[in-house]
Amino acid sequence: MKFHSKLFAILAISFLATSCVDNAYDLNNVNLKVSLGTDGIILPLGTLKELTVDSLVRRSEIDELVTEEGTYAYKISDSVNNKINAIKINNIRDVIPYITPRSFAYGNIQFPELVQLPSFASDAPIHLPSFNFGNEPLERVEIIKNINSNYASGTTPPAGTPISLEADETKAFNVTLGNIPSEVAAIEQLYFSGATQGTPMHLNFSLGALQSVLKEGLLSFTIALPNNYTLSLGSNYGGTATVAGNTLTVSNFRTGAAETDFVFYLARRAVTEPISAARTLTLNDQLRCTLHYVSTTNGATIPTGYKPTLTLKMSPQIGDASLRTNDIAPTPMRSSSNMDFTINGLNRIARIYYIALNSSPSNALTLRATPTHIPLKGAVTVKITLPKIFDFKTGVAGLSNNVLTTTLDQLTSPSGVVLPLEGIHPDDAEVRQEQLTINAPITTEITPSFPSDSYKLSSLKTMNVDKIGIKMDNTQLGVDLARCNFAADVPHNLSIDQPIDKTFYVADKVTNIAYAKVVDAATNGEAVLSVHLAIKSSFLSHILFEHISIQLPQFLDVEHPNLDPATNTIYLREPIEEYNGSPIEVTRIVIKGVRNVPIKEKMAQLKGNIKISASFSIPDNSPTQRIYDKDGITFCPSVAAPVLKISHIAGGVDLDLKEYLQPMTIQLEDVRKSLGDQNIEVNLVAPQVRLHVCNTIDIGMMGNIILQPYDFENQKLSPITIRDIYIQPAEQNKMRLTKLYITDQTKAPGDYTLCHVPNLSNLMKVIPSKIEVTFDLKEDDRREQSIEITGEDYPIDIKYEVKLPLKFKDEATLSYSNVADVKDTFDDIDDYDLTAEDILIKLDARTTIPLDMAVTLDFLDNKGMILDDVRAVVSAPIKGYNAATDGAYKQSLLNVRVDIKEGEIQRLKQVDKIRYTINGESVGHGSGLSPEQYVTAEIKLLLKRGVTIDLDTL
Amino acid sequence: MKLTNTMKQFTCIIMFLAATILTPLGVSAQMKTSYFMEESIQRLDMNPSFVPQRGYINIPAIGNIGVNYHSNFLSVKNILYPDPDGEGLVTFMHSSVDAGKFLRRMRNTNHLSIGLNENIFGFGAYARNYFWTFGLNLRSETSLSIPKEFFRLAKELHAGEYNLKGFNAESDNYLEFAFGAAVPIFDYLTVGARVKFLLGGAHASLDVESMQVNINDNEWRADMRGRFNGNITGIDFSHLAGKMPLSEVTDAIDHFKMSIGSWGLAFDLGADARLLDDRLKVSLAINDIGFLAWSKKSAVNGTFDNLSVAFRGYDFDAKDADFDRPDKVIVDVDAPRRLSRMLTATVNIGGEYTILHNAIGFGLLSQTRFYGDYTSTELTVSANFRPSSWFSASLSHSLVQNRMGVIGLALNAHPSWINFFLGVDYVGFNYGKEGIPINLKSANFYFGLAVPITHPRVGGRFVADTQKN
Repeated sequence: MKFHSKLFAILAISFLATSCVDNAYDLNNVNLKVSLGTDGIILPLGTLKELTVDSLVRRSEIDELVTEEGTYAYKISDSVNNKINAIKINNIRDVIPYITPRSFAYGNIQFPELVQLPSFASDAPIHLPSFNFGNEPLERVEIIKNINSNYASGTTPPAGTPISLEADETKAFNVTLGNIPSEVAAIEQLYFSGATQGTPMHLNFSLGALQSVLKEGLLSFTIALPNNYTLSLGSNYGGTATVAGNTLTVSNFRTGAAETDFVFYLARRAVTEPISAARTLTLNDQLRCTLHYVSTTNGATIPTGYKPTLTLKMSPQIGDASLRTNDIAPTPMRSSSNMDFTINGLNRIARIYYIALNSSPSNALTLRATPTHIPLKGAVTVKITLPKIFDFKTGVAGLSNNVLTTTLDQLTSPSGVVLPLEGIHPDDAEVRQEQLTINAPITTEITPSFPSDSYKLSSLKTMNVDKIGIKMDNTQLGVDLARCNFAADVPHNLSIDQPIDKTFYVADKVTNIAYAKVVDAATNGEAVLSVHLAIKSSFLSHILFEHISIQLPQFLDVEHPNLDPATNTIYLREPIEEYNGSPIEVTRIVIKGVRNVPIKEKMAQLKGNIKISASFSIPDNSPTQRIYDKDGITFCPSVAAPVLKISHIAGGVDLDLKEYLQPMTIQLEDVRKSLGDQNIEVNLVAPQVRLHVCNTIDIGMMGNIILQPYDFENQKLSPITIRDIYIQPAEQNKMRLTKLYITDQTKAPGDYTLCHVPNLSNLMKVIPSKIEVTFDLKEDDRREQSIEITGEDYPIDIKYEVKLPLKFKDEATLSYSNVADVKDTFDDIDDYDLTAEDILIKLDARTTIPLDMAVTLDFLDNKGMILDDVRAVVSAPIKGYNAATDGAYKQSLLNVRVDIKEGEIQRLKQVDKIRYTINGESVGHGSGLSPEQYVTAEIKLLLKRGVTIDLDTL
Repeated sequence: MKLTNTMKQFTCIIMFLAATILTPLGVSAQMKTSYFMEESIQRLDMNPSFVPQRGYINIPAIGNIGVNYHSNFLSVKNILYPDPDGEGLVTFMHSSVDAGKFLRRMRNTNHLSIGLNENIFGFGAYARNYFWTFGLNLRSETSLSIPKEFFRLAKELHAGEYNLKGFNAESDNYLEFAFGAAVPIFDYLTVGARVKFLLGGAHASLDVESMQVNINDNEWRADMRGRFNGNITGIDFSHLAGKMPLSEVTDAIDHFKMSIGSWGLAFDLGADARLLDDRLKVSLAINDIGFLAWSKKSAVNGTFDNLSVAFRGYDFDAKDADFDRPDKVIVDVDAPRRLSRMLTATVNIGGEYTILHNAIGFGLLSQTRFYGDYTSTELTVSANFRPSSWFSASLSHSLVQNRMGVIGLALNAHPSWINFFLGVDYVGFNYGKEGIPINLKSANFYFGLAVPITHPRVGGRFVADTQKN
């Protein structure tokens, strides 16, 4: 154990002994400075992309620098406000005074208490159908038949020999009716005409030559018609004849005569056949007659000669018929006529609009009709359109809107139809010679209506009615005068003449007023006269003014479409309605001004007359009560005029302009400061001054303007006098701008007045700190003065604009310096132990700016002192561009060597400001600065020994 | 603000660690020096047939901790240089350090990796003649590659073009559940096996396929394109597809949902033979035969292209730096795919001959690691000392890439009540004043603390002791 332990210990010690410690590797002493790019680092600092002059200018915020015609120019503008004190003129009150009313007498008006309506009659046509048919003869029926016997002539049968005679005959029996009117729906029964019981049928039986050989025998026969026939007997022939419906029978009539006659009657026929479309009725029947005769011979020889014969004769004729009609509605028939009547005794009544009637029951119209027989069963409607002039009471049966709808039965009744009246509207009825004639139309329309029914033809055949007489009874109407409405015929002429004498104050600056425009003092708008007419009357409530004329005084200048300027009179041609007690405005007159106003001791005088004339009448539709012996009327015209304010005068004005136009100063301090802190001769080309004088008073001004420049030390330089200046007067009360162009050039822009000052550039060679402008002007008295009277001061604004184009003459120089505040920018830089020696900023600059620009940089501490530790040296200027010799641009390569003491970047912390100065010298004559000129540069940072950072400081 | 000396040392150490590279890429989670330390629990990881004499329970969290870093360029000597103007050191970025001298020390591709093997919980115990083990381990491996051109750019900063292709980084993190058993077949032969279930935690890789830096007097510019892969268990990236801002991808990480998606399986196999009366011990082990499959659902992969930045100085119009940079980093997310990665298999072949009744053993260990496209072998010779029944130590020397390497040292105290282990594989011969090795480009450190839980098995050099217990 011990051995092994010792061995192990020996081995462990041996192992440790073989290890060694290198003292050079002491991690407690590690320099953590890290160097990047020790063989040199080039770092892009960026590319200045076409930094145009325009962007530079905008960054420098020189408000006065503008671009005109592609070139920069300093442009200073400002304005000065002068004024001429207000001209005082008092307002004109009550230019038209109160007009005294005037009274006129008036006549009488009468209206009758009764109105007489005469009787009235008129025939109204009625249309009814005709039923006159069936009068034509029917077809005759006749049968004559020879009857053979069983013995021939010349033979002699033994006595007692029976002889028999037989006959059987058939005959067609046709009935035809034509011209059946369409109103007939069906014929139900025909009645045959005859003396008693119908159309007679005569039957004759003749034995002829046999009669001599025969003894008395027995005769039997039948006459048969269709079932719808009815036959009748006149005699029953000893009881041997019978009728059963349509069959007549004679049995065993004893006879031995040579001829035997019978008479029977054809009474009627029931009809079921329809009426044809041709409005005919055709019945095709058959009649049959059979005969049988038996006798015995007496032993004589049968002679030659006539044979036994059967004869049947009948001439049928329609006596009457039963028929059924269709619904019969004939075309309504209309007729018109006039109801004329006259109202007398209308004294001074021009028109009547309504005649009101009193409550008497006799104030009614009574209508009747003449009695007329019409066999048709039904109604006849009568519609009577009564004149619109009648104002009927309400509630009358059948009367609506003056249309009476009634029946013929009512009209033909004893009382007729009574229509109570309220009044009469004689519209548009003009009264002539105290008489009113009314022609009122009345229209009647007859409309029959008969429903289907059964009639005997004979009752309709006699119908023959073609008109119905309509009449109105003679009527006397009682008038309710209180409610009547009419127009009185009372024209009259009225006239009033009123004198005017008015004065008002004017300021002493105004020497005379040839014309003064006026406005409404309250609104500053148009001044308007309002002319009212009125009457005062105890009886007229409604009149009409006509033929109105208003003659105004000559000093008033007015505007009206109906103005006669020669007499200053306004004629109103249209009638104007007026209501009593409420004056009505008949017209409005615009007052434009007053003219030819004399002024005496600051008082202007207005003198003249106003004359108002009119006629009047009672207008249509005026509700006028009955008038008896009333008094006259009073005419009350009036003119309402506003307070007039004079807004403009033309005449004579006396002003002292020097009192109002004070000298003004054009300040160029900012321009001068932007060019440096000293007097700079920039040798600018074509400076110019523009003056805008805004004149608001209608007075021209003429004289000189003197420009007095001052240098940097406020010392006066040589003045310049601009002669024969004319400031235009305001035009038509609107301000006028006079634009003066002061230049050493020989032309001025179109709307400017050229003021050529050849030595003006001398004035601007050293940019003055200010230019004092003095106006030596007086009023232009070559023309009449015209002034707007506003009650306020008259501003005279003067705007000036000084323009200095940045175009340089030969060898013009420009120095610009500024200080950039970089305070706090490098505050954190000493948190890092950075070192960078030999710092070089390389610029590859290209420019089109026509200035050689030498740039110097100074790093300043917080006291404004230049730092020794941090310096920058620019190797060369940026060469200016000369368009005549250079190409597209001018290129310059320059270095900015930044020298920081010992390369310790943290020394930048001392930098509080960086002052940079640019000294420019123009390149080429007449070259100028323009917005598109640019400078561009590629900037690189070259750290020749790299940069070292001490991580120990992190 | 000034750094204190301690902080300054810390900064240097961090720089050193950050630049360390693993010689063969892939972190070795096994400590070679401990391979022949019979009572160390750490050596069980290298061969499942190894058995200690006692069962044990690792003290949670500190039972077995291993940290390692490897690089092929990063050493104190390559980063810090003597100050020519005086005492002390300067960094390689100091102006006094010649760029050529510094760059010659850099590889064309400079690698760095860091690994962690943390036993969260583990124990081992005998059951009959079998020895059973269980361990729950956290495994984390992260690597970084930096092209030499990057250092040239930093050092020179000359105008010109720099091709920085080859930047990449990768990280794997997972949990390992290991169940092992060692079985004595004969008196002289023990075989063992271990099965390991793996639960993926997170995987990320970034491969810069192209990075061009161009410096000239007009512009400083960098253009980059590359590919990325990510897989985080519990994060659903499956809804992402197509071009989108990178922020949308990172925003998805905010929606974590506990789940198990990525998993793997691995085996360790081993055999240990004792010959010549236990004077000669020969062992063989094949470890980490298996894979780790990363879930498709939690995977995101894609490319980024035209990622450019440029500086052109000062923009006089905008009154700001003329600095072009994308407002958003746009990535093109590919369709998600399942990623299966084979583990880096390791073959350990060892032999030890002991003398002095096992008091001293001389061992030779061949450790071969199988990477995807190449293999790496290290030979380690060691002298193993067992001076007492409760203490042992090993001293090793490894030949790295056939060059003379470094010394390793391990100590193991294992009395009956504790098992304490401390070891490093890389012990240099030159040290700075603070004890930092100057030349080493790799380092590891292992520490373990466990509690024995059973009597020792009879055998070994101290048979009497074992019998007594």
